[in-house]
Amino acid sequence: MSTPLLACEDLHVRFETHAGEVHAVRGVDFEVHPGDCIGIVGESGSGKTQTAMALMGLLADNAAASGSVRFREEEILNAPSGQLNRIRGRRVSMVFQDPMASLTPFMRIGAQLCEVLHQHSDMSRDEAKARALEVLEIVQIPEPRRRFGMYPHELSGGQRQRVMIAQALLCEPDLLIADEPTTALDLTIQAQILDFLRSLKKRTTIVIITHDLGVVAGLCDTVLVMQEGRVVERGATETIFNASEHPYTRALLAALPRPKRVQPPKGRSIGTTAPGKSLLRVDDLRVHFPTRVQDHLRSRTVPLKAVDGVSFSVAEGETVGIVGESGCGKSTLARAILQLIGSTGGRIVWQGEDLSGLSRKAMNERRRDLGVVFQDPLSSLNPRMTIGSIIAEPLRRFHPELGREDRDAAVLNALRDVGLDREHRDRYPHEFSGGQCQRVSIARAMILKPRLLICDEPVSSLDASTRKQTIGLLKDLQKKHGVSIIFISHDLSVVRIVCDRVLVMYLGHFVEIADRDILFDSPAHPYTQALISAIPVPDLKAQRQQERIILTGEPPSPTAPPSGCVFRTRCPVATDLCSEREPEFRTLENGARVACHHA
Amino acid sequence: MLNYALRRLLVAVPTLFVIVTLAFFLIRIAPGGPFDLIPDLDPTAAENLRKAYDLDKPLVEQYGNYLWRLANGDLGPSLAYRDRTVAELIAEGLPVSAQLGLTAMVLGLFAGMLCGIVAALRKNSAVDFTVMAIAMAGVGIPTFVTAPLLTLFFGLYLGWLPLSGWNNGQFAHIILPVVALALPTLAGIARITRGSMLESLGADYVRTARAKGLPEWKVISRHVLRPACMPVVSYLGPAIAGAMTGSVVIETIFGLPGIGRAFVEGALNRDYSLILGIVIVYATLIILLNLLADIIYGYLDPRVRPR
Repeated sequence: MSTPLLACEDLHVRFETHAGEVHAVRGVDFEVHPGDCIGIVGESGSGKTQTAMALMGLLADNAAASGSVRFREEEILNAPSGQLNRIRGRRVSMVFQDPMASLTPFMRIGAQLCEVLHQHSDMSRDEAKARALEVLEIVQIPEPRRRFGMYPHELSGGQRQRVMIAQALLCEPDLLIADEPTTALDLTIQAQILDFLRSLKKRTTIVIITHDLGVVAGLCDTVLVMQEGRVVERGATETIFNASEHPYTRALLAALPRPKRVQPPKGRSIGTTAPGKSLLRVDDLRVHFPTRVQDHLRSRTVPLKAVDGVSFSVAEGETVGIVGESGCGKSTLARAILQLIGSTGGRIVWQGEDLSGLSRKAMNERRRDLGVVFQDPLSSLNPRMTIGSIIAEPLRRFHPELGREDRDAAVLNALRDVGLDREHRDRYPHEFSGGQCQRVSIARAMILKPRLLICDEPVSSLDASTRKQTIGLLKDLQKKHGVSIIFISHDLSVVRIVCDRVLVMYLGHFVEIADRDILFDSPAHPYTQALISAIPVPDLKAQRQQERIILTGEPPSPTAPPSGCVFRTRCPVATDLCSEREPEFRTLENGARVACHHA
Repeated sequence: MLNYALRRLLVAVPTLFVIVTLAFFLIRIAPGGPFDLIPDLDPTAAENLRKAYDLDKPLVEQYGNYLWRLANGDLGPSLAYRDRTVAELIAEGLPVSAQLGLTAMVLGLFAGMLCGIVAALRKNSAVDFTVMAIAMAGVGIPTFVTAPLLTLFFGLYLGWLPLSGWNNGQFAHIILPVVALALPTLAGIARITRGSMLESLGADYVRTARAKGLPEWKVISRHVLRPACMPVVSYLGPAIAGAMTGSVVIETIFGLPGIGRAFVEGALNRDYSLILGIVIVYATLIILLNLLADIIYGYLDPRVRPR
C-alpha cells in the first residue's frame, strides 16, 4: 500500500474547563491514503469535530492534544503555526458546518478567496482573481463575476457553502476535510452539494465528518464510527451498513428512519380511515408582509408573499404534516393559524368559528385548545423560570380555580407523561439537554389537553436517537389524549413516520396533498419527487438504485414569485403552459391532490 | 449613504428645537436672575436693565422672541458681559475647547484601543491584569479627582508641567488637561476593545482564517480587528458626550478659556442667553458626531449599511 497521506496515531484531546478536565478524544488512530473518501460518523459530543480540529491545529486555547499526526511523514500535531501554515489552506483545507458564521461577514467573497492565493503562491492580483473565478465556476456558482464582489450575507445558504468549498479548493489541496458540510442546508441544496462532493472524489482525497449516516452512504468508501471519543468501529461502507458488529453502530442505524414502508401503527388515528369531524379548516389563507425594496433611486413597498392562498383541513385525531424547505412559509402558516401574526386574506375556521375575526381577548380564550411546540427548545423556555412553573403557567391562566396542590399534582402528572422526574420540577431550562427541554415544551403544550397541537420543527435540533424518542413520545401522547397534530418539518423521513397526511409546500403554495403512503410511494408533483429522491438514505442498495433528481438553482424570492406555477423555474418538466397559467388542484385516482399541469 | 445622512440631519432640526425649549424653561426655573450679582444695584436701574434685555415681558413672549432671533442666526447679547454677544464669546472659547476635546478623544481612542488589543492578545497574563486594573480605576474615578491629583504630582511635586492656564495652547500647558480628560474615555475604550476582541477571536470565521494558513498577524489585522472596532464605534457617541461634560470640569480646574468654563460661569451668573448658546453648540456637536459614528459603523459592517 502507498504511504499514507495523513496518519493519526493515539490522538487524545483534553479540555481544561471550570468543571474539570473533559477528555473529548480518547486515542483515535486512522490513516488516510491518496484517493480515499472517508466518513467519520458520530453523534454530537462523540469527539469527531475535535479530532479534525486537532489535525488542523485549530483547537481552542483550553485544549491540549497528544499523540501523533503525520502529514506525508511530517509530524504536525502541536507544530508551531509557521510550520502548520505551510500545510493549512494549501495541502490540507477545510470546509466548516455553518457557512454564514464561517465566512468573514465584512469581507467581500473575492477578497476572502484571493487572500488564500496571495498567502500560498506569488500570483499577481489579476492571476489570483482569474483563479478565484475559475474555482467559483467549478463549484457551480451562478454569475461568479457578480458574486465575487458581494458580501456573504448577500448570498443564499447553498451559495455560501459553495464559496466555502471553492475557498478550500483554490490551491488544489491533497486533502479536503469537510465538517458537517451539508447539515445547515436545505434538502434539495444538500443534494446539490453532496452531488458536487461526489464529483470531487476524483480530484482530491476527502474526509467527511457527519452525524448523518445517509450522507456517508452515498459518498464514502470507508467509515469510522465514533462514540465518546473513541473509534468503535471501522470498515468499508458496505460492511458497516450490512454487517456492522458494534452495538452502537447498530443502534445508530436503527435510530435512522428507514426508506422501507412503515407499517401502519396499531392505534392508527381515525384521520384517514374514517375521517373524523373537521376541527380546523384553512381557506385560501394569505399572509403577505410589506417589504421595502430599492428600485433605482426610490424605494417602494412590495408584498413578500410568505403564504399565498393555501387551503386544507385537519380532522379530529389526525396528524397532518407540512413539509417544505426553509423560506417556503410553513412557520408563517403555523403562526397565522395561531393568530400570532395577522393574515392578509382568507379564513381560519376553528370548530366552526372564524378565528381571524375574533378580538384578542376572545382569541386568548381559544388558546386553551391550541397547543404549540417550537423548534429551538432552549430559547422557547423562559430561562428564569423553573421547569415546574413553566409547565404550570397555562394552568394558572385557564384554571385559576385550581389550588396549589391540584396544580402541583397536574404538573407532576405532565412531567411523568413526558418521561421526566419529579426532581426536575425545581430546576432551570439551561440544566437540561435539548431533548429534555423539548419534553418540557411538550408537557407545557399538553397540560391543558388541547385539541390541536402545532409542532414547528420539533425535532430538528435534536440528535438522531433523541429525535426518535421525542417522536415516540408525541405519538404516545396522541394515542392517550386523541389530540390532532400539525407537524411542520423540513425532514421528510420524520414526517413519514409521524404523519397520516402530508402537505408539500413551496414558495407559499401547496403543491401536493396526499396520504402519507401514497405520497411516498408515488409522488405526483415534480417537487415532491425531487424532495423524496434527495433524502440521503442510510441504505446502500437504495442509494445505488435510486435515481436521484437533483434540482438546479434555488427557490426564487417570495417578493417576486414567478408567473404561473411557482415551481416552474426549477422544474425539470416545465413547459410554456406553466409560465402562463397557475395550475389548479386536481384529484388523482389514488386520492392525492396535486397542483401541476403535467402530473 | 448621502441620502441617509441628509435624512438624519433633517431629523436633527426638531431634536434641537426640543433641546432649546427644555433648556430655555429649565434655566428660568432656577432661582435668582442675571443681575442679582451686581453690587449696589438700585431697583430702578435693575428694572431698566430687565427692560433693556426684554426680561420684563411674559415668559412665552420671551421664548417666541428668542426662537425668532435664533432662526435668524442671532444668539443674542450676553447678560453678564454686557458689551459682548454670545456668538463672540463662543467664537473665542470654542477653538480652545475643540483643541482640548479633539486631542483628548484621539488620545483616548487610539491609546484605549491599543491597550484593549494588547490585553486581549495576552489574555490572563500580568499585562492583561495590569491594563485592566488601571482601566477599571480610570472608569471609576471621576475627572474632578484625577485632575487635581495629576496637577499635584506632575505640577507641584515633580514640577515638570505648569499647573494651569492656556498660554495660547502651548504644548506643556495642554498635556495635563488632555490626559485628565482622556483618561475615562481611554479606560472605557480599553475595556470595550478587550471584550470585543476576545469575542471576535472566538468567531467561526477566525477559525476559517486560521485554516486558510494565514499567519496570526494577518488573521488578527484582517479578520479580528474590524468586528472588534464596532462596539468601540458605538461607544464613541456617549464618549463624546462624556468628554464634553468632562471638559466643563477640566477647563474650570485648569483655568482654560474654553466654552466649558464659560458655561459654568454662565450658569452661576444666570446668563440665560450664553447658557442657551452653548447648549446649542454642544447639542449640534453631539448630533453631528453621532451621525459620523453611525456612518463609520456602516462602513465597518456591510450588513447594517443603510440603503
